[in-house]
Amino acid sequence: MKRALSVVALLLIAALFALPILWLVTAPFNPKPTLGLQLAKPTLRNFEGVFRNPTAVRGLRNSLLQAAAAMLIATPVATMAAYAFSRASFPGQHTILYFLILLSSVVSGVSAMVPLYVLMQTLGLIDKHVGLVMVYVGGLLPTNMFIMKDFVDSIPRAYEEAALVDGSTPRQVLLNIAFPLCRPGMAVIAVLIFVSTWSNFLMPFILLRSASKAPASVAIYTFFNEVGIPLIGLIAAYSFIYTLPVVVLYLIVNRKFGFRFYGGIKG
Amino acid sequence: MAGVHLEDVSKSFDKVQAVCDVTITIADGEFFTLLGPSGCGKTTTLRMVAGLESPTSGRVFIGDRDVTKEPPKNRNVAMVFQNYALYPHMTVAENIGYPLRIRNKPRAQIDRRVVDVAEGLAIGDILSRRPSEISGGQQQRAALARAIIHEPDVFLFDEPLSNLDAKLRADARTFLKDLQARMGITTVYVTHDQSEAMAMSDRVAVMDQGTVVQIGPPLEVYRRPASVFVADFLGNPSMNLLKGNLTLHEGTPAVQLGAAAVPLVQPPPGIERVAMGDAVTLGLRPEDISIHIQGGEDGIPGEVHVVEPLGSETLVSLKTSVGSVKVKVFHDMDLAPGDVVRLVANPARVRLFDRAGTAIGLA
Amino acid sequence: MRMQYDNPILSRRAAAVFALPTLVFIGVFLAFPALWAIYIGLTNLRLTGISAIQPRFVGFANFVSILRDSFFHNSLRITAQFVLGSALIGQLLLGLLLAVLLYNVKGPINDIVSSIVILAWIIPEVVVAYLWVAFLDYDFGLLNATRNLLGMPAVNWFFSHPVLSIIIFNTWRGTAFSMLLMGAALQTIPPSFLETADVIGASEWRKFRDIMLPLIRPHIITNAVLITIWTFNVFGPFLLTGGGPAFATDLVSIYTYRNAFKYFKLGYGSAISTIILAINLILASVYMKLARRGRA
Repeated sequence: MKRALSVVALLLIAALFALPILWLVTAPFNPKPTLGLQLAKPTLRNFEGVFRNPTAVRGLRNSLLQAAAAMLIATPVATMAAYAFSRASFPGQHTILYFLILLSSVVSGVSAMVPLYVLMQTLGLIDKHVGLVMVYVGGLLPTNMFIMKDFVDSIPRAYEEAALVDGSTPRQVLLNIAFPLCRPGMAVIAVLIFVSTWSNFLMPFILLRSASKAPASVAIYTFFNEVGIPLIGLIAAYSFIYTLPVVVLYLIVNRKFGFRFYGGIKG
Repeated sequence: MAGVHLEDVSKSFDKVQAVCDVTITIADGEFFTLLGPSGCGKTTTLRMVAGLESPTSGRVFIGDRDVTKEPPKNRNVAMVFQNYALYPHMTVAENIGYPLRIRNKPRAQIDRRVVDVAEGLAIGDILSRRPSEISGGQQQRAALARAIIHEPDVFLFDEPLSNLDAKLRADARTFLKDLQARMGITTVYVTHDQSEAMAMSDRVAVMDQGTVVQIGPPLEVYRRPASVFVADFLGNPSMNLLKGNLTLHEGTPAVQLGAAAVPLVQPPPGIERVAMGDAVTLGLRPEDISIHIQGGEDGIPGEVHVVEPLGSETLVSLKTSVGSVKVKVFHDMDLAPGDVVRLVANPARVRLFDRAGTAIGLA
Repeated sequence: MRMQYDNPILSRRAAAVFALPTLVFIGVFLAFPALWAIYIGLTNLRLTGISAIQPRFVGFANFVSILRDSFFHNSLRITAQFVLGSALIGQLLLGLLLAVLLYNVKGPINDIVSSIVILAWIIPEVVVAYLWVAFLDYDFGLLNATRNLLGMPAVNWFFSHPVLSIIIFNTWRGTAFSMLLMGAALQTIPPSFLETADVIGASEWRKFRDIMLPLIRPHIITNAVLITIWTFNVFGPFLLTGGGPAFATDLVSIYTYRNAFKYFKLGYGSAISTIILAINLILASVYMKLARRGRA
């Protein structure tokens, strides 16, 4: 009885949550999509449209480039710092960590958009991939460093100590023992970094100007015809393609590591 | 092969003094155990021998070599950790061969040695598995194999049996003692389990709050504890400690316990330094007390409280005027709660401690 | 003394080298901009024109005009409604409800329901915006279509209920976090606590009120503070309404954007940023205090 009531309530809430998502799985396959929900014989024509549209393709490529660059820089950098904070002890360590946590929740994209714009302008990095990627890395490092530090903290120091007693040099300990042990955690933060960069709208919206550099999140706002009517088929199919990697990566992380523990990533 | 010598070794973390002026000399080939409750500094002492902690002051020798400032890799020691620390990303064979791999031994030689050592420890059939796929007992042997493969000068064990269940632990204890005796490698073994220490060691150092309070062969430490702390820590159940005063009873020294006086048939040397009437503590192992059912004048009167038959022996708890007393009885006795009996001490085994808790007649 | 402590795994020098890149990145791209915001906020820096090249120091003039700006008052009021409605009422209560229901139901239903709620949380922001534009569309949107089917008139949601629209939108978007966090908190309750209550014969409601709620209260409070900070700093509704109609959804985040990048007043925008940073700092300090107490 109690279970049955719970199930009914859950399915009702889930249905309400699912309603807005339905459009994302129907419209892209509709030959004549509108903002509404209609059933029609599914087609892939809208997807063809995406790949024939140079702006759309370039947007996806830019998103990939920016997200991959941020991921490749931030993952090792965060891991090294996490390892240092977990394994070594040095004066002021707790104070530094305290300020990093504070900083990561105080300085958000919204609160920093103006000074970040001015900084990038001063450094001549407005409308440059490099500038955007640097801002991503700086913004994502605290949170991901803490996730990684929690992960390293959970690895017993005895592994490294055993390797030392077995005769390893500190360098061998890092390469043979510490790095392989950190890899699962690195995979998780790499995914988190990739996904949050891939999905970001505000930063490229403010820091980039030329259409040629716009990632998918910005490019999608150029999909109108000559008289300003949105190209719904293109937008729907594009949204679908753009969302797919995020969902797939989520599923992989969820299956391999469980998502729950990394709940604190949004922001 | 080499002995280990610690000279006035101290270690503090921040403001906490973990180890304080420890001096120990361990002979070549000896099985030496550091025994004590958690937080007594035994693991820190072991880690200083390994080189995982450096002493705040004092020196560490392995053989004739002062290794105080040497990193672990230059000490040629091997260590088995409480959780075994088998690298989860390597197979059992790769784990065992790791010490040889980083010494750049040829691949073929490593493989041969790994198989030899693994077969010697009866784990030859699990070499291709990962640590997560083998049992606790097998993990323990794999860790052991990794420790012996490069023929270290010293074995260091940090509670290596505490993760095993009771039955497996007893087997592993026998196995380990035999292995150490056959290989003859100097061994420093850390445990909080006194039965492990008793069963395996040539000598034991009992530690408390960072200092060594007694060193000696296990039975010697068991029978002649140097302090109330050692008496209480060793033995299960621990030694009965009864507070009384030193008196003269029919011309010989005795301990007055309430109305009863326990005569010291063999007064310990050094008893002169305790004044008559001073407070002392009488120590008696549960197996060194006998229970007399028939009335009489000698011994301490007591009332049976709880009777626990344990198979090979029976544990009897009694209430006396000077506190509760536990007695081990090895033959059948018809005792029930409420019975009034007399407790008589084995005079040869009486241990006496002064007001500060130090044994009188240490030697 | 710690000075004397050496670490055989990672020397202090190596640790410093390892931590340095992170500290530099964070210092330059996170800490410095936050501090610089205060300075720029004291100038009349503009995106274009003469003040773009040679900004003048204007003291607290920007702050004074912000505090006098009725549009800012409007944004503050809307933001307060938005945070209260979508974070504290919407996400927190719905997340808690979901977590408790999911606690009782395991298996595929648990997986399906939590996956759908999490999906709403991980879909990229711009896509979510389009989904809701479509969902709430007057002519074709699913919501009005459903109302028509039920014989109810269509509603122009963004015009008739602008704040409510973005509150519901943001609740939908963010509930997953609270659900996950509350779910993790419930998992920390030993099952024997609830089984004991079952044996005594406690009702479901009493079990929730007397056992679950007190035990997870610290998590609820922490969660409340966290989602308050995040919701306060959300920019997503801009993609839905652009702040309109007629500034009806002009959140502080959108107000900042509008002034800095549409009216080109970077100094003024920076001063608003400073105010946002100060509010964030207060909220984050509360969070840190709670987190510390939780650990002690």
